[in-house]
Amino acid sequence: MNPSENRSEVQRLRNSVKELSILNEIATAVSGVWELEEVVDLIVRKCVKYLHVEQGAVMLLEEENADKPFQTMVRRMDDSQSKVPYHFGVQLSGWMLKNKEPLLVNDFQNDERFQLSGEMDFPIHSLLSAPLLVKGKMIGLLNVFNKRLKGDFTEDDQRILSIIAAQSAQVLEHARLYKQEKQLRKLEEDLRVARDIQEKLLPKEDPHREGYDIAGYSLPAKEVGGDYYDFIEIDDSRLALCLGDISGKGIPASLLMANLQATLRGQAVSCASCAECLKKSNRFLYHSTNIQKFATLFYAILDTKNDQLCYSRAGHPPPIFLKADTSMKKLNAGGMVLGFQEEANYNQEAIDLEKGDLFVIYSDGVTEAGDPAEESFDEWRLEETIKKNREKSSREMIEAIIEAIQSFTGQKFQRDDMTLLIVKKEK
Amino acid sequence: MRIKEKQKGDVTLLTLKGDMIHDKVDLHPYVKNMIEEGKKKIVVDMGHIKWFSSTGLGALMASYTSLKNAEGDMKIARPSRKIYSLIYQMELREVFDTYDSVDEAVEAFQE
Repeated sequence: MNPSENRSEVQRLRNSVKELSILNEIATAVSGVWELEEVVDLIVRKCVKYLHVEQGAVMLLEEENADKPFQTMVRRMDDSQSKVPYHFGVQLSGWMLKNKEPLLVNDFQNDERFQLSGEMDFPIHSLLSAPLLVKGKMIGLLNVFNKRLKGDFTEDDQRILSIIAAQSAQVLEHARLYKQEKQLRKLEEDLRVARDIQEKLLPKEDPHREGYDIAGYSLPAKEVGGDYYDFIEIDDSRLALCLGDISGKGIPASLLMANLQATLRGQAVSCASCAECLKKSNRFLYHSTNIQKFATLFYAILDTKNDQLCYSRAGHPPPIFLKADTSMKKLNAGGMVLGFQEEANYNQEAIDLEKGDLFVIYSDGVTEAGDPAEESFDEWRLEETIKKNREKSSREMIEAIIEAIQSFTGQKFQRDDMTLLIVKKEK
Repeated sequence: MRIKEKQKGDVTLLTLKGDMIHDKVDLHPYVKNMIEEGKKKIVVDMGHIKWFSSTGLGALMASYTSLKNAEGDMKIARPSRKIYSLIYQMELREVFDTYDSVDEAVEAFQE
């Protein structure tokens, strides 16, 4: 080996040792770090330091959004204030997603692959990019920009960045999964809170009124919807019955439900009529909701002294009224859903109750039970079930309806809350 | 749910396809963007909607409110029986103008 060959061999060995120590340092640094932001930060800082560049960035592709696969989830730069413009990030990730191989550009301004409009905050003259691949699938990019001192990137730089990218991909993927898992756990916690709120709002027991058999039941869906029912004692002989369905799911629906319950409890005693109560509640709800939120509600006052039911419904499915003589009618009087328009008027109707009369108030989760792509339980099945079980107690009838729905839907996932309230005038 | 947009004179026709249930509905953000672009006369063609729930109605209601607030208007063309019965049940017939065909809905803006 002549002296010059010897020197280059020594240089090659030195470079290899340096590369190995860089990789080792990165591997040691990221081991034990779980937070995605921290892992990204570490990798970028090490790249900026060892490759002598002005900036570095990790771009992670968002998988879930098929329409925008190039959207970056995380970008980390060095400490400089200026950032690589977003639209360039999109161009770069687009090119890399197509080619899936390292990219080296030393004369950026004249490169036809990337066209930038306007002045850039951060002028790029050179760049190096390597794909982050996990099991052949590209999860993102590792980029460095502008070799310091206006220098050019070399093949060696490209090789090192590619090796760092290969090593980092799996670590980043783990960190990303860890982050997703944490978000999922947070979501589950939110659902638990929503369920808790909903459960606490429901009556603990059915009210007792002489000559009447009253029962309520609510079966929340897995996603926690916005059904609720309530009994409000106005005085010794008058009992308000409420059954509502708030649009949406989760915590927002639960909170709105709590809001509606509080409103109704406040109104029930002071309002002279059902219609007035709905009119005022509508106004309250309109002012405390955004435009996507609304509620349907059935509100009735049962007067056990005069055996009369006065009711009004706000966009709620009309309850079924089954008379002792087996004739059936729908309780239709009312008006618009609550919370949609500031001013709404409601009709009401008073019905005299006779021994053996009964009415069933329900939420649409009952009649819409079933696969959305198939047939639903529907009103006619509900009516049939009520007729068939008319001699049973209110509680038993609720059980019979739930059973009929479950045998109709089989083991399928319950999409929506199901709520029932039955009042029967005893024979 | 997919949304296809077509201009018919000064009326914008939005053809909706797929499901309007649960969280698959993004009509309202779409309409808000349109309002920003100055498009405020909108016909929503529901003829291709397969499944519809109260969430879908919520999206229509929110879109309607945003349009009204911007002094625009919305007409609904070809609602299915299911959609119409929900509009009926929620007592929204006086709010939503519904038409049996897209042409009738578009023409209604000229009156």
